[in-house]
Amino acid sequence: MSRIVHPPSYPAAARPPRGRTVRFWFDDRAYEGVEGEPLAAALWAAGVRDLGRTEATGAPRGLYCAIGHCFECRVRVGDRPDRRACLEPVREGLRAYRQAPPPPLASGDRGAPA
Amino acid sequence: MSAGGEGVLDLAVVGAGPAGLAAAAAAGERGLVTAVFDESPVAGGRLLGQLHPVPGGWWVGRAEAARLVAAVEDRPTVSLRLGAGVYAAAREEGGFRLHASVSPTPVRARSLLVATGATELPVPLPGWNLPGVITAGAAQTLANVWGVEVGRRSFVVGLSPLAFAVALELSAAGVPPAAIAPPAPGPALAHLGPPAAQWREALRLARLGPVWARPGAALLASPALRRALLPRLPRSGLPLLGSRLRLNVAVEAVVGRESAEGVRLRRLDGDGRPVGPAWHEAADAVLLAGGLRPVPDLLRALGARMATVEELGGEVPVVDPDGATTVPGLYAAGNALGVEGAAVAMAQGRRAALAVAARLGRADGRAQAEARAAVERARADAPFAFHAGVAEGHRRIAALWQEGGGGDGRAV
Repeated sequence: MSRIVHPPSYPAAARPPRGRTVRFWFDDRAYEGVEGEPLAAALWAAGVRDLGRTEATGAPRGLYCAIGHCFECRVRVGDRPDRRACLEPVREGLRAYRQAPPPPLASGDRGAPA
Repeated sequence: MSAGGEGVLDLAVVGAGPAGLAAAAAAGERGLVTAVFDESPVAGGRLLGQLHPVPGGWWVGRAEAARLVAAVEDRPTVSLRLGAGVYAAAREEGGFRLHASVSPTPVRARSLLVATGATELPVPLPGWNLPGVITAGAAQTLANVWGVEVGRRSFVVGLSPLAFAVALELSAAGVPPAAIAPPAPGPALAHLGPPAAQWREALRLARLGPVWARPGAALLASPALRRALLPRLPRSGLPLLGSRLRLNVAVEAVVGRESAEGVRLRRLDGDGRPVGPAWHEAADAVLLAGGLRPVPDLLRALGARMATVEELGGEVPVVDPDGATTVPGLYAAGNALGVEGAAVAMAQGRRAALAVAARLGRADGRAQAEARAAVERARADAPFAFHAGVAEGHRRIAALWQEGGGGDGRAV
């Protein structure tokens, strides 16, 4: 949808590598992304800004820092809650969901992949 | 961890950005058993999203990152552990224990290099937490790293160096932001200084700007001329990098229901005070450019003596000329030492790795002296300073180190 089409003057070495197109799902709607790019980038390119609701007020939240610092882009990936969409690589068949209602806070490390 | 005895690393590096990768490459060159951790699945850190024109072409961070990754992968004693966030660390007999998100057992290392970089200062305007409002760095990641268009009509809020870097990069990609404007002053934005202070910061960069920027900056440096001129400038601003630099307009709020749809603006008078009625303009993406500060968490948690140095962007460790902290075996490199460009960060990474190698008898004084000189050279060659007086900031840290570590830092 909104991928940059670089002008010829843009340095070749700076162009993003063109991965293969894959299909993934967000809240049961299908989208296309580039394999390996962060889920948050693929959703942004597809025009999706609202990635979930904050537990505090229920207000919409989305990508903010894009480098894993802020935890505003938490989504559920498969059965794993609180995955940061900015760090989660898109792959064929990935299924992600907005987290609503919010899951109870759990202890322990949530970073380990399944 | 093939060598080194009982799976203990010679060096653990946290952060696979320019500093961490350069350190790992240098450590590998000296045969140190090294692992680099980064919670991103992609190596390179902020390098990946940086590019700027240099005489005869472009400096492309992505190419620098690829070169460093290749150098690291070339070394049999170095492993790159991506998607592995270090969420806890502690000192223990003879070194450090790290807990990373992908390994069930802790990682042990004799030396630890913290290369965790910088984070962005918030610009907490009303509406800043709406979806569609992102940091300037996030825009670099979307557009420069992944080729995703940030917005059809994006609005940069803030006059930090990062604001102009992003505008330049988006412009080069053919998708310039619609406007660059300061945030309106407010109690939550005191850390950014009033608009007049932000103007001064922006004008510091004028020598890198278009032909009108230098004389324009000279005129605006005088408060009297500023009061006379700024109200006469069109509120649509001046053309800059395919965008519009709007110095006499401030963003009061981001507005929208489910995501950002626009910004609320006010005129600024010649002293930077909002005047007159507010109006709205459409914006489908808002990029907050508050500036950068070093990430101190891991250093602080491990008990390194810290100091707050304005010229370096915030809280930094008190370090020796190699980046060694007050905790034996704990080093820092890159923006964790102060906000500067990637070339300085790479040189600081190499310098720290050679200091670790020297402790193990794998580097001599000459190599170390060269590595230290390379940091100074990179600083002198930098196209601009993120903070005015960065060299003075480093001198203050050196003085604190010589006094036996101190600053306003916490006790070890």
